[in-house]
Amino acid sequence: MNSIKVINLTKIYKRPVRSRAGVLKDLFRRGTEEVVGVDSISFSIEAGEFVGYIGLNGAGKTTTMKMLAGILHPTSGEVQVLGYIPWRRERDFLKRIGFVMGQKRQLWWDLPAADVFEFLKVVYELDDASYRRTLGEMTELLRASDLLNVPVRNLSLGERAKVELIAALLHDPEIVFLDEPTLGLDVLAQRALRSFFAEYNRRYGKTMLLTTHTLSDVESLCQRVIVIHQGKILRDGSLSGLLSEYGQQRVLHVTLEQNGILLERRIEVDSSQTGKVLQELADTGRIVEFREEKLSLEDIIARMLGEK
Amino acid sequence: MRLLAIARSTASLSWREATAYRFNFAMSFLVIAIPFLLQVFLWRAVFSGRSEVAGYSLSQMIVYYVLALFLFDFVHPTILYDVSEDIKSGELSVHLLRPLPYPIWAFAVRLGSQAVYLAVVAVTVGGGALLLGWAGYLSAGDFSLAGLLRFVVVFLAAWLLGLLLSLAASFAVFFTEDAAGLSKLVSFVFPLLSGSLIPLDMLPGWIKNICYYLPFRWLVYEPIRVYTGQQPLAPTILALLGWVIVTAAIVWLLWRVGIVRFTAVGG
Repeated sequence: MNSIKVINLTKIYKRPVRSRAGVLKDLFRRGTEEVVGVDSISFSIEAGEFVGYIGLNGAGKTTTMKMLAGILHPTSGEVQVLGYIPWRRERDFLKRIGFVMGQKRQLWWDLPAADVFEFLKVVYELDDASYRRTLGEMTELLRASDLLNVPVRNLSLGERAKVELIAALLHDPEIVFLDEPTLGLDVLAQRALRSFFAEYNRRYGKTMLLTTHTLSDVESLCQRVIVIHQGKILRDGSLSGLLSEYGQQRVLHVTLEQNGILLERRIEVDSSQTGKVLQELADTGRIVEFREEKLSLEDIIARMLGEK
Repeated sequence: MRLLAIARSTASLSWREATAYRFNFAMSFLVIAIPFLLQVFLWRAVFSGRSEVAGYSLSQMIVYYVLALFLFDFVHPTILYDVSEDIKSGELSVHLLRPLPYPIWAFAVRLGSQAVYLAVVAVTVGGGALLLGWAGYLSAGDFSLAGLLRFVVVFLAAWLLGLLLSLAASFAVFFTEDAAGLSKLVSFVFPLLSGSLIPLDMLPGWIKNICYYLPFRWLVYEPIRVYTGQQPLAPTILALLGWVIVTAAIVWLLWRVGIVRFTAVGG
């Protein structure tokens, strides 16, 4: 069954423009310009899928997610999430979705997370047993049990991300939107969250949609990627399909010595061309070291979007 | 029932937050005590050499200001910082994800933090009044237990109206983008039109006429007159409840229109 179904979804929004014509004119007339955030996109996501939704800044990723979660009203198009129309924001719908925002917080700075969890328990009408079970499982998976009674302001950024995550998932939602959940975190915290997401999706079969600029996260977590560029879907398919499409491409990292100077070179070539390229390089100097790699998702995306 | 449980648990959050810094909490007593003393000194100077100003004795005038001071922060419509920040920064979207109407959340948060403040103000102002009585500034005739009981009832109704007016002012941020202008206007006219600056019967007639049609006099001037017995309790409560209904409707309308705008415009 489809968890999410999107048909011809479009969002055009206005943003204010300050006129440069004159101070007085600006004071009395403020213009706006229309920006196409999302341009007639369609896709559907099955229950239990883990989908990476990637693109450059301003490509329309967050705008799409906000429409799926009911925070934004679309300009046109249809959306069904678990059979609901999101922007009606029915109570039953809101109880079944979760939204993790990397740069927004819902915990209170001066209070320990546990206080806010108790509040969320009331808001989501969770019974004692399921509340305690979910809380126990989350804290165990994230190793966060000693963070719950500390005022949030006294937690590190990584620790805060963990308790925010628990807050966002405490009501055990069926669909989870992850909007740059690892933004600004260090390597270890990123890894902790990444393995949490993998386990959460695998163990509970949750439907998950992830946007991130850390493409190694997508590579290790998602079975499917949707690439969006300037509001349009550029590509929608399995991760392995995308990787194998560029499977013949290689990245050569070459250290070359020319007249006693060491040069680092990075060259993208077709695998059939590596010998030829190395030969050409050998003619210009001495190859001290070289390494041949397949394209990472990051390389592929950079190439796809760079061509545009 | 559910809303009540939510309101209680929200209010308890903001109570916990307001008492997080114990030094701030302790200082807030002093912050109230100082203007209180200044008022007493000011009116003592005004009354020097006369026994009555516009029908008020010094003791009556001090009672007026004790009660006005007590009321002011609870009934004063103000743009709630949290709400206007939520709207301007887009943080409101976090709240839209919850199965909890934001106006109820904002109302309960304000209620909880003000409940802390109420405890502080009641202790400070009550203690101050007793001290003034002991020092002989207040005559025994101006103390009234029945008056105090009536005042508690009218205070609760005025507090409710004040909270709703603050919500309405805060939701206006949906349409003005910046609240500073509105905030300045309110903080300029409210003390005058509510009677917290000087009793309304000392104002020129035309201002009094304006005040008559506005809700503000019911927030300070009339509740004090309910304490002194110059104004009956029942009609005052009725008037306050009437304004509560009108203001609640305005809050609801501003929210409905504002949120459509917010979800349509935001990116």
